[in-house]
Amino acid sequence: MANGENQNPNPNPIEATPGAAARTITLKTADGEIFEVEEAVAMEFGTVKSFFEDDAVSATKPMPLPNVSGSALSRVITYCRRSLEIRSMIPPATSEDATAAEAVQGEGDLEAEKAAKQERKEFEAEFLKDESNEDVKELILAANYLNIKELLDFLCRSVALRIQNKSVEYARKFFGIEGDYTPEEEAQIRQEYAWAFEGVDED
Amino acid sequence: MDLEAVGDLVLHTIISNLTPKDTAIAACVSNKLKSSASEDILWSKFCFQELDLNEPIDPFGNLTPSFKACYQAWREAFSMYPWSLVMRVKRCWGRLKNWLSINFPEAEATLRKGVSEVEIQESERILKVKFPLPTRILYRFCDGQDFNEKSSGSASGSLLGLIGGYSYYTHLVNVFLLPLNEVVLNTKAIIRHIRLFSKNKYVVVAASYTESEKFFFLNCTTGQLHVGTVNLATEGEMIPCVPNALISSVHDSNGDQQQDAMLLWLEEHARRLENGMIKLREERGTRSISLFPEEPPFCSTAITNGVKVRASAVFVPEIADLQNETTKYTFSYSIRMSLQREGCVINGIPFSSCQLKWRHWIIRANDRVESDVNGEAVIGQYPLLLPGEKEFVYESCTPLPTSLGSVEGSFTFVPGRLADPKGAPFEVEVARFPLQLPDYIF
Repeated sequence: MANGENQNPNPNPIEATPGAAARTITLKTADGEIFEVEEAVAMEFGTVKSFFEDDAVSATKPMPLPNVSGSALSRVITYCRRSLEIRSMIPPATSEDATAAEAVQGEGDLEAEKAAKQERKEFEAEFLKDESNEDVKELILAANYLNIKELLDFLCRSVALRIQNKSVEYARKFFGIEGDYTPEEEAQIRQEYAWAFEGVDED
Repeated sequence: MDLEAVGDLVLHTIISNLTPKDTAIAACVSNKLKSSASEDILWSKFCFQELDLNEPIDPFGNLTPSFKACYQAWREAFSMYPWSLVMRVKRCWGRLKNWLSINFPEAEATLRKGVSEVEIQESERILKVKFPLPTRILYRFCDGQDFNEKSSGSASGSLLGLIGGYSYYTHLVNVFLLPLNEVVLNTKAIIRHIRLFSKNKYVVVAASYTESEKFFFLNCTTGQLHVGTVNLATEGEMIPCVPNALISSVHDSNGDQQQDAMLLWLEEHARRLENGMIKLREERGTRSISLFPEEPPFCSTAITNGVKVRASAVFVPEIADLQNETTKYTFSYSIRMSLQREGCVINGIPFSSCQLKWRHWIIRANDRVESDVNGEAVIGQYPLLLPGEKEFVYESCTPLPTSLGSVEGSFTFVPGRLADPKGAPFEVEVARFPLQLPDYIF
């Protein structure tokens, strides 16, 4: 099938470029959604990469992703696709030519790197803007399962920002972690870090 | 949703992106997070980023067993102040001490260690003031300078002022930062003489220990720093030392916008030392910080026939007289002249020395010529310049009715010596240099 076949309405329809030799890989999420993803993007997922590198696994059969929902995968694909685009803004550091040409290329590279950095900054600022904490956590679980280092690092940084200046109770709820201190231990550790408890945001 | 499912590596990565405060909060969440949050490598990063520490040294100079314990000790010792302000003050003293340790270690040795909260409160109680927040923290880090009365007779003890100074004719000032106990003594002494002060919460924070008097007052209510003019004793007349618009929230513990004149003044001083705008001067074997600018646009340079003349001026606030139209402002200027290694070359002919005979000065107030004078010598001397030798430096002064003006002129030199001229006299340019009431007064 040339086009992605969806059993559920897919908010992120993917069209295979007609005529281009772009290989696609088919992924199937936990809730039964099918995604056809360009090979380059899919190979950003460590889990997918090793799956296809392992055996002569047929690239036409959908790879199952039992731990990832459709909505999460859709967001992940958007991120990786954009990330690849931004990375391609920087010309590869190949050393084929004479020094003069390299010097010119070097300067251009610096400019391109700066532009790419700026693009990434803006993109990352927008990407999670409307996501709830639950959505972000779901993305973390997905990125962790799919083994996408760049996305995971970005999500961890974003979480750090989201819990900035929050209380211990907020952090517990966010991480879904029960405090396991005895009352004495709790009092002691709060005393040890008393300086951190000034000016914490209201939950 | 339970993030514990992602495993320790992810939790660990999240924690390593937290601020120190959030890392502390994370440690209080549960035992598992506590172990990630307690890793000393995190706290060594915080100690380095926020306190510029490579070793775990606490505020009292003691080595602590871990960077975590070190960071905690600092936060606890300064828990009564906004942390961002504490870091800023520490950085300011760090820059000053660093410059001194490299360039002027004998002055660094005079810096006293910081006072305690108790000592600050005691001084406030005696003087019936509340110091602005930044100033309190400044004193927590460093209690001004020791002044050695014994060596003041030889003048070397009195030239170690952190703020530095200048001298011309018999007027010599070199400004020290006062320790709190001197602040108290000097303030009480001055209040007795100048009635105006006790109402307005001024304290003396810096002064020159020389015959020529120069006093700096901190207004504890507004946070501005002022320097006394010639009418200080009679009228309590002073000039503000820091742009007023920059001073803010000096008594407000909330937020992070606090800056008072002391902090701004010392930060500006650190900047000028670091970028070489002001330098050490060595005179008769003694070194001191000279406030004469060394770089353009305030210092001019001109080379004529191999004779190099550098010139700059400094505002002398302690002689200013705001009530007097003609001599409202006084500026001292420093002229440095030297002969390049190649000697004095006139029309291709080299001479191995030259000597000054005349000077010609044009002094302007705004753009109007105030005085245009010719005269023999400079401060009664006829400097003989030899190739490649140290600069001949002299200082003089001029009053000015306006806060802006300039000086320029020329010297008439004779190749060889006055007693034995080798050729016709020639003019050496002194390029125009500004006289300007500065935005920061030291």
